Amino acid sequence: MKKRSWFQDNWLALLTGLIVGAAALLLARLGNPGNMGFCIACFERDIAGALGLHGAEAVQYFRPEIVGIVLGALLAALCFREFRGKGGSSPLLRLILGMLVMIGALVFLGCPLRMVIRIGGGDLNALVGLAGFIVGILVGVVFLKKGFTLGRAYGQSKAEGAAFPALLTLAFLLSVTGLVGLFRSSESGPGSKRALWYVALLAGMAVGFLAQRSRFCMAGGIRNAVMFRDFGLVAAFGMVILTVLVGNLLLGQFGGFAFEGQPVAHSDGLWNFLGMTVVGWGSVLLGGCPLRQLILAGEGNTDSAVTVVGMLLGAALSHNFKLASSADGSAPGGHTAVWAALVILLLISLVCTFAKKKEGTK
Amino acid sequence: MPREPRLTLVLTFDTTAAAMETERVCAAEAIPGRLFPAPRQLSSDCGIAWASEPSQRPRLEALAAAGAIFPAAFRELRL
Repeated sequence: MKKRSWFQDNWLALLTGLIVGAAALLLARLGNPGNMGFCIACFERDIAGALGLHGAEAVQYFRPEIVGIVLGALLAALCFREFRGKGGSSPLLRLILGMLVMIGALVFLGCPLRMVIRIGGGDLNALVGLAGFIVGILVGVVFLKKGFTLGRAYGQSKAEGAAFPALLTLAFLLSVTGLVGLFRSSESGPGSKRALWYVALLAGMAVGFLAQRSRFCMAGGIRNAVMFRDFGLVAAFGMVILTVLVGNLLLGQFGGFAFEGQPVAHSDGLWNFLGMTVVGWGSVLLGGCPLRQLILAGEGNTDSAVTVVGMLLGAALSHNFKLASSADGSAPGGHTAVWAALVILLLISLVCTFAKKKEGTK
Repeated sequence: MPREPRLTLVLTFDTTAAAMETERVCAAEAIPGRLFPAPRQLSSDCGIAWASEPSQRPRLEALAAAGAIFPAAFRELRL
């Protein structure tokens, strides 16, 4: 038997990158904001708004893409017998890390997935964000190598694992059927720009299914490249960029590479960089990027479900306390929040690296 | 020329930290092996696995039983 080729090992990740890029183009074409066919952070922020957790009227909508991703991952996990309830690995710290990741993402204006979609759309600010993301991951990897741990996860019941996907689906059904007027919905701004809900749901499901099968993760990809010289997942991100770039060119909506005039983006380089440093660092400590957290939550991982809840709370904080950036630029409160997030990340990293070693010697 | 695949003991993990901890414990216990990206058909969790020789399985299982390492599963496959 011959050793498998690089392509045999990575074709599914490349296909996932292709589908993610194509779905992002499709959804942006059908109504989602520019360069925002997919954005886990922005869409969770919109859901937080729909739930009334923040009062920013321009960003409130129960995004079907998020529900689709979780359901797609759930379906894949059930089909391939990978669904199992588990959790209990420092849930409160994960909640806090989820909040910090969201605060950093909303200073940059996008999650790592939107970062690569923005690069494909010609947004050079996203390259600055990518540099910060990589730095954050490298810092996180240093702590991992020194012994950072959030503790082990434990087996839980299937009911526990299914609770988050079930709750999310129920809330979405209530939202989409409009049976109760519980949820808020933007009439202008990014939250009002949306593809048809069932198209968005199906696109999300396709991405969730494929991402679960291919183990697609932005933070894991860079971690694997740094630690093992394994470039399979990084190549998949390259595929997202290539697909979006070629698609934009074919659709005649590519305006060239530039810093200025990009949709739902700002050009404050320092804060693009540091915002994504927070995201990269936090994602490595959490064991996956925001997209990966949704996938794991769909597989029954309650730690990831708690992280997603943390991200919703982080979005609420960002908008209630005016930490989030806008197309006009980053906010002064966001600058303070990013520094605070970096300090908190350092504290969590130090305590969970060195305090554990001390405990182990007792 | 690419080498022929050989039977390898693979430990998968729920968290990246558990994989890293295994590397440290195995180094201290002089158990040969290496971390590598988990084959996607094996694990949906942290994405990192520990590869060792199948002959090391009893020692690794003993470490897991003693709570020194926390693998999610032991598998043997040709890599």
